Amino acid sequence: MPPDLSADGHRIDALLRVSIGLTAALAAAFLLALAWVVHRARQRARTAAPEAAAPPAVAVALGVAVLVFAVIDLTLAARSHRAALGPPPPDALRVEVLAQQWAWRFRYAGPDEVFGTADDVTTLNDLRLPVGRAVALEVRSLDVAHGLFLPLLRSRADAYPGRTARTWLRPAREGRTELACSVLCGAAHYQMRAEVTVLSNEQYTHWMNGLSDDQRRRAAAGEAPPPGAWAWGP
Amino acid sequence: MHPDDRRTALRTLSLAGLGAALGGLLSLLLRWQLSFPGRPIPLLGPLLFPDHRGAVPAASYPALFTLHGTVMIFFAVTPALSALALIRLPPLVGRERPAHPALHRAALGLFALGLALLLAGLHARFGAPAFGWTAAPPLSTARSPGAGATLWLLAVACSALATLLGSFDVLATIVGAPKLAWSRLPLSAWGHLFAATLNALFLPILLGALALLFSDRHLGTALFTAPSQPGGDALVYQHLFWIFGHPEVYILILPVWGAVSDALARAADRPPALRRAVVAAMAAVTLLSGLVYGHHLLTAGLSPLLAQGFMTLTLLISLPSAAFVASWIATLHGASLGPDAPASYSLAAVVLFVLGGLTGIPLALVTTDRFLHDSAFVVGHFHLVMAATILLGLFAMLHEALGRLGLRAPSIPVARLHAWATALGALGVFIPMLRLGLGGAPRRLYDPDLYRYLHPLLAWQRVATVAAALLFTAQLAWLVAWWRGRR
Repeated sequence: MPPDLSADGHRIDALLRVSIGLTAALAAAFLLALAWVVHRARQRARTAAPEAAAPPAVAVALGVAVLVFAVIDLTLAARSHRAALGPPPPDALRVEVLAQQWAWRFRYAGPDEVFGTADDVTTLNDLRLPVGRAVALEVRSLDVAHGLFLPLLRSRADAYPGRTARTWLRPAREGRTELACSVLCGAAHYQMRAEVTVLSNEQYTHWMNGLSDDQRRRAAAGEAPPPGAWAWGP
Repeated sequence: MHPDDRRTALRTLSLAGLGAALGGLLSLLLRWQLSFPGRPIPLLGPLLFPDHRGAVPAASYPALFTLHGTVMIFFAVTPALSALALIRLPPLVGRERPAHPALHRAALGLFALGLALLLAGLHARFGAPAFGWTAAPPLSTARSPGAGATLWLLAVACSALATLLGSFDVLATIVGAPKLAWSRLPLSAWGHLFAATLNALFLPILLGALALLFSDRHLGTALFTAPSQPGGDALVYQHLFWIFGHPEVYILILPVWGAVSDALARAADRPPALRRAVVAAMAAVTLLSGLVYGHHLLTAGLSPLLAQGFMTLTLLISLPSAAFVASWIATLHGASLGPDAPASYSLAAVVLFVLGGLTGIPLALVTTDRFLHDSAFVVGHFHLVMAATILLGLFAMLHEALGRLGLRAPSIPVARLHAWATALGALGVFIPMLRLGLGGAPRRLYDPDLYRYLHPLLAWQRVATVAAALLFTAQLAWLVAWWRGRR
């Protein structure tokens, strides 16, 4: 797995390791058993040795195999349930993401924390997040289905036009990473990427204030705020 | 075999072979681009893409994988299984001929028409269809102008209709067999029976979804287009498609499971172990296959309760699958197994099925799917099952079917070499894909080089490409060996 920059990604990574480990162990058990019976069967054919009768406990073995899977399935399902993130904390930073062929627009509510006002800050293919704070993302699409995928922040949400997709994450380390579109969205799907920068709180505030001031100046000069904002649901 | 049935079967098999060759070639082009992004393809490149110095153009890449998936599923594996059912089924149920051979003849015509329409779509104005084999709207409707996408819709509808007709014949042949003893029905026949049942249930849903797409494209509706059109919702299509799309996996593999069970039992010269349990497991899979499709939508904003439900049902499929593998091992336990071509194909198929089936577990889990959804891991997982296991299973069936067609199958050593070269090639292609997915590589990406975090994974792309070349060469070698000794 690629490095994990998020505070909660370890839940996914741990379950992924467990499920891949179990998968590999079960595959090894089945394949070794198969290899052994095939090896013995070939040996018998070569040496014309008499066949052995089918073992009487074969139905029991089948029952055990099915039971093992049932236990593993239920354990994994329960672990998956426990590892689920749940709703974002109420103080999460809110970011609106508007996906379109083939770009990402990010909208921050600005100091007044209300979307669709003059101090909103919008960026193109440039998502900056403060370290340590929960970030709630609402994703909408203007045209076709898109997939917001943040591999190093272990987050994903598929956006269908007309619907709002939600996800949240908490960056744990400063650094730069990438956002990819993970749902085929046309010829330039592969180019639909955004830079993601996790900043220290000071750097983030500095950056946000700069953009917000700029936005206010433009509003004062009579420029309309960038369109496309929506009101957040509960 | 009746000469009419023989002709239909041979032609349908040839069409499937043509489809598989085309689909295979396309996959090599895709693999080349992923390993050497933007570099000219040796030999074929200048012929196919003269305006791009022989390299795959970005705009053509989605069209290539759309055609690859569509051809492989609807015009290679599906017609091959239809033909093999026509050849194998009547003697399994004690009949001379199938109940309604005319249905299989009509199916052949529809498969051929469908393939022709699909290929015609490549030359359409505004380009070939480029929305993936699932044709998700609005990419496949409002955002795909021109006749290419419409021809794609009609082509897939032809294949679906053809499959439906063939399935009706399969059902009638089994259920209407005069001296049918259900307790002695071979597992191969059960496999065809369950697959035909799923076809009869779910292909009409695919046909309905295609009709609605057609309506959105040409009749002015906006069923799958939002916003601004009240009522339209692209997600509804996803539900319709995957209600068919997930059972499709089992439609294709149920006959393989039956054939593998029978081939191993025949080679071991004993009845399949736990026969009744295997039939029950097939029935359980058939039932579950219609209840698990939601795992394709785990990241599309399903309610958490629904997602948990689909996850649990999906995981439950591992129980009957474990029963199959346990039965195959038990069949061979204590037996004597001489060289046998169908058994070699079957054993190779079992190895790939074990890996392919088990890699479905991390994908079924809601939490881990958050990372793996739409990644190369998904592609590796379903190709291990749908490409590798099914290809080997088809060869196990074909090896016997050739005899019924009056053609000679390649020798046992050739078949064994082919089976294991195919298995090794497939492992070499699809295990690196699993690794790429664990590294966070999204599928359907024209140029993974654009992403910094994917740079360390390029070597895995190249391993997969070399193995794909081996896989393709092994099939060509089999074809040459068979052609030279066919009579």
